[in-house]
Amino acid sequence: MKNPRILSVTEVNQFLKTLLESNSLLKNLVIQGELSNVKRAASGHLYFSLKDPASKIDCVMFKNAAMGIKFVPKEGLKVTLRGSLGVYPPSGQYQITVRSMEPQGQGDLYQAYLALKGDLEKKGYFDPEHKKKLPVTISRVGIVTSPTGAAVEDMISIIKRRNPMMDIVLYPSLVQGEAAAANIIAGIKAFNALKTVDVIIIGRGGGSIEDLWAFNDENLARIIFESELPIVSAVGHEIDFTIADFVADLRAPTPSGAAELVAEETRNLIQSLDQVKNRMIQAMKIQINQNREVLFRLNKDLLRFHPRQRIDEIRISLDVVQEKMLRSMKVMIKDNRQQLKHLEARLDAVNPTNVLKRGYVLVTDGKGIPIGTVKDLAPDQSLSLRFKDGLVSVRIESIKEN
Amino acid sequence: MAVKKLKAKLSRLEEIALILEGENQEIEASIKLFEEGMKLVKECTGDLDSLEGKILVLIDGEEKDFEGRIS
Repeated sequence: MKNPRILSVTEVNQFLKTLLESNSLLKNLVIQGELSNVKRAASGHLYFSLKDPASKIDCVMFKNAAMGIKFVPKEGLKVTLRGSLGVYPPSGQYQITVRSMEPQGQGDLYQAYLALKGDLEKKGYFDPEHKKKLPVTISRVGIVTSPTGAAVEDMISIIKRRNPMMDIVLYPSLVQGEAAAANIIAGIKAFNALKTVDVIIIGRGGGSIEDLWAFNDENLARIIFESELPIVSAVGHEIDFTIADFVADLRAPTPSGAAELVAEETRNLIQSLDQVKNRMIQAMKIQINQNREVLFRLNKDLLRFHPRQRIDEIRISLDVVQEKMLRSMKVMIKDNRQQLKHLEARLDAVNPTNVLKRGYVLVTDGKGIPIGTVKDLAPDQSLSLRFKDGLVSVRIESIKEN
Repeated sequence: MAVKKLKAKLSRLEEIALILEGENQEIEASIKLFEEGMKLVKECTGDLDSLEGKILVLIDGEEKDFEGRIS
């Protein structure tokens, strides 16, 4: 047996490297296992171990490849790796240079989604106290979405229908594919820089989990979390949940739902305008009626104390008095008339002409005054003799007293 | 902005209605308030009928009029 050739350490490692790296099976390795000891270097390279219950193998994923990972590679996660086995000569260790990493099993993306979700939840991204309230009044809305497609059309038409006064600012963005997340991030940043809108809607229509994947981006989640403007997330259909939905201040089930959330019905405004108008009119009517009632009452009071009222009373009592007077006057007249008749009869009884009728004569002086005694007479005096049928003037010749 | 102004007017109207509905109002003051209220109602109705929001696009950090159809 020949003396074996003595090799240097480097030669052995180099030999192994050549041997292993030329093997076609080891060159295109597909290997399953659990992630462990995951470290991301400042350079962006990812170092970790892949293990199963019995053993482990070291892995490296260089920056370029690591950037393609669509989930958070974390401890214990079961993954399928594609890569090649290689040897690192300085340490003599073999390791897998990983080209791609997928979470294991059928719902690979779903697993990744769950992993990121759990991660962000732990970081407090979903905490209710971080949720910003939507402003009570929204006059302008920013929308980050694809400028083509049904979603944007639905949102615009719903907003216009519900509140024609609202301004809509559209940030046209990709919503699926590699660049989508970065696009959406740029949109959110642009709105936050300008601050001309009251709220931002990010969203897209329905699709597969792959289509919606941009909304499960970790960087996007961070930007949503940091946004000063409130963000409504509206991705896919009611049943689709994305990381963006959880971080956003409000999740709408669909883009149309988001439009309804931000655009309050102006019909409500019209209604409250009508209501307040009717209330004012009603209140005014009540007041006017109250005043009218007071006026009516006062008027009644005034009428009761009106002087005419007194005058009427006086007038009536005047009538009464007058009536009384008239009545007693009549009585009096009647009485007097009777008495007069009576007196007339009595006077008639003593009427001197009746005596004359019986043949006596009434002697009067020249002035018509009856003469009852001779003592008042003197000779030559004129006397008047009244007979029953005429007067006779005589002159006294002589007087002879008894 | 339009909606905010409109809402400010609406809340003033609410205030006026409340005062008018209150007890023991001076009729002259009430009539003045009522007139103010009716003027606001007219304005608001006009605003609701005439104010039309714009559709803009945000490109290169600037809001621009959106021309052309969305679809």
